[in-house]
Amino acid sequence: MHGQYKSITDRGWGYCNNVLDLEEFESAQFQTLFDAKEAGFTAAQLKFLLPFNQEVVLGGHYHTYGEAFSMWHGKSTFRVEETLDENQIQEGVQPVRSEHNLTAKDRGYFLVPPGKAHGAKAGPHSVLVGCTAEAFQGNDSAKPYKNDWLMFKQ
Amino acid sequence: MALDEVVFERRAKDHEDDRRVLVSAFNGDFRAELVTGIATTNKPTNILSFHGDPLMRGFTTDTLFHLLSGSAEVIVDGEEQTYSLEQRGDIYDRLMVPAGRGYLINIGPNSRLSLSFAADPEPAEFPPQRNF
Repeated sequence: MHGQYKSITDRGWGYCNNVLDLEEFESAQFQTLFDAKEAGFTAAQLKFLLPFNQEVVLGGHYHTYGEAFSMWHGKSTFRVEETLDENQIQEGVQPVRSEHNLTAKDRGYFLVPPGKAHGAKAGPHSVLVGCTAEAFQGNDSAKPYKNDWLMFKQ
Repeated sequence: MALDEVVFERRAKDHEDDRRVLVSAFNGDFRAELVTGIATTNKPTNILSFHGDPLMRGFTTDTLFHLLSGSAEVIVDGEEQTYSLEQRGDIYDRLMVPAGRGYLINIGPNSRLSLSFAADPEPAEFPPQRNF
């Protein structure tokens, strides 16, 4: 679920750089933001989340489709949790939790499988890229799922 | 959902609150297998695609350009006009180019342009080396 993109396109741009020796390429950085081969789905939505000049907590929900994230600028921390129903919560079942750091420098990506609750803490002026397997059709697409851990309050 | 012609659109941001702005390049009106981001420094850059290029047979896919910041100009093979993409205030421009159309992109300094490919480009096949 967590790794680095190394796609055909990256190699293609590398070829342009090395063989064609275009000086202009030195003035630009190329980064794979989404690759269906890694994500396991094609993107129906491409969105950019642009925090202002302070760290922000985003998400706190789950949905029935997968979502792939990468950082185009800055860094973020993701938290993912197995969703529990009311009975499981009353029985004291402990959810499976995981935390992942993502930085633009490492060109990493992060995949949230369908049904997993997730939240993210993104740095100021970062550019967080999200691709979803289905189009976003209002708040019916994502169900709220918030707790102190998922929302970085602990 | 294949494109028949070049489509240029000026789009508003999707959402803003006290934490952040949310901008979508597409949402149900395009499907991407691959998304590449190009960020320029304080210098502009030029990019030439190889769609239909006889020497570098390559990316035959619909392509969606979305400008997140800065500016870019796109010259598309077969089109008389040059498309100027800008990000101003709450407006973010995008341009969709059908498969098989070559293009030249001039990206301004301090810009961020994403390219979404409807199908993963296959590696370019080059003609065999000639020994003279």
